[in-house]
Amino acid sequence: MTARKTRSRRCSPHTLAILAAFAQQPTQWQYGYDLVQLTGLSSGTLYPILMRLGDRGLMESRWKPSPERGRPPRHLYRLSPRGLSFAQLQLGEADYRRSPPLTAAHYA
Amino acid sequence: MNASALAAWLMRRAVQLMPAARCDWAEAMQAEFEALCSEAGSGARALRWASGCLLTCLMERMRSMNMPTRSPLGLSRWILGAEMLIAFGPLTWLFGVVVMLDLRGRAPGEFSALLISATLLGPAGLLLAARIIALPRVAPGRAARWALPGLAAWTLLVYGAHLGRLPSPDWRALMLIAVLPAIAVAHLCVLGARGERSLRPEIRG
Repeated sequence: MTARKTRSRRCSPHTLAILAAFAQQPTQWQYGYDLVQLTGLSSGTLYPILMRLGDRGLMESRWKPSPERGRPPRHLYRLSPRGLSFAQLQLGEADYRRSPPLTAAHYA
Repeated sequence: MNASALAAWLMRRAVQLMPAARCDWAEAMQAEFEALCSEAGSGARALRWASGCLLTCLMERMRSMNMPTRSPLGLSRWILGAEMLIAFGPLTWLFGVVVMLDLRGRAPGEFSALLISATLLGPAGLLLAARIIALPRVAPGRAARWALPGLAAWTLLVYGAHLGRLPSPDWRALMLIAVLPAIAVAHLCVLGARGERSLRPEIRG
C-alpha cells in the first residue's frame, strides 16, 4: 500500500533535481555540499528532502572520516536500490540516463 | 561581525535547534559547513549554507514539537490563550467597569442589569477558555456550551440595538465588544463539541 502510494505520488521539482543528481552516478557516494553544487539548491531545500528520502528508505548514508586532522567526518549519500527504482520511475525512462539502468546487483 | 563569523554563529544555533532524533543530520550539516569554510573566500557561501541549515533545523524542531499544521482549529494552547484574551479581554474590562459603577451607585439603575448581562460574556468566555486551556482532556459541560452562545447572541442583540440608536455608529467598538467575542464563542463551541477524545490532540502545550 505504501509502495503504491510512493509510486503514484509525484515528486516536487526540487526532489526530482536531487534524484537526477543521484541517478547520474548511482553507485557513487555524494557529499551534501556536492549535491548543492550539482542541483543549485540551497542547503535549506536539500536537507529536508534528503531526510525524507532517508526516512522512506530511498537513500542510504554513511560517514567518511576526514583525511585532515581535527575535521569532523562527513556524511555521504546515495540512492538505495529501492530509491534507484523510484528515481527511474519519477524521472522517466527518456531523460533518466543515457546508459542502461543499474540494478540492485551494483550495490552488492 | 563578518560573514564567516555570522555564518558560524548561525550554524551553532542550527545544531542546537535540531531535535535529538535528527542530531546526526545536524552533525552532517556542520561537517559540510566546516568543509565549505576551509575553501578560500567562502564567507557568503558559508552564510547561505548556515542560513539554510538554520531554517531546516527550525522546521525539524517545530515538527518534533508536533505543532499542528493541517487543522485550522488545531492550535497550541498559547495561541488559543492569546486569541481568547483578545476576543474576551475588552468585554471583560467593560464588565468590570459596569460592575464597579454599579457597586458605587453611579450606573443608571434601569440599565445596570442589562449592561451587566450583556457584558457577562467576557468573563464567562475567559473562564471557559481558561478551563479548556488548562484542562484540555476535560471537555466543557453541555450547559457551558449552550450558555455561551446564548450570552453571545444576547450581547450582539443588546449592542446592536444600542448601536441602532446612535447617530454615528462605532463599528470598531461593535467588533471588539460583540463580534470578536461571538467568533471566539463559535471557536470554543467547535472545540467543545469535539468532546474529550478529540479535544486531546487538538490543544497542545
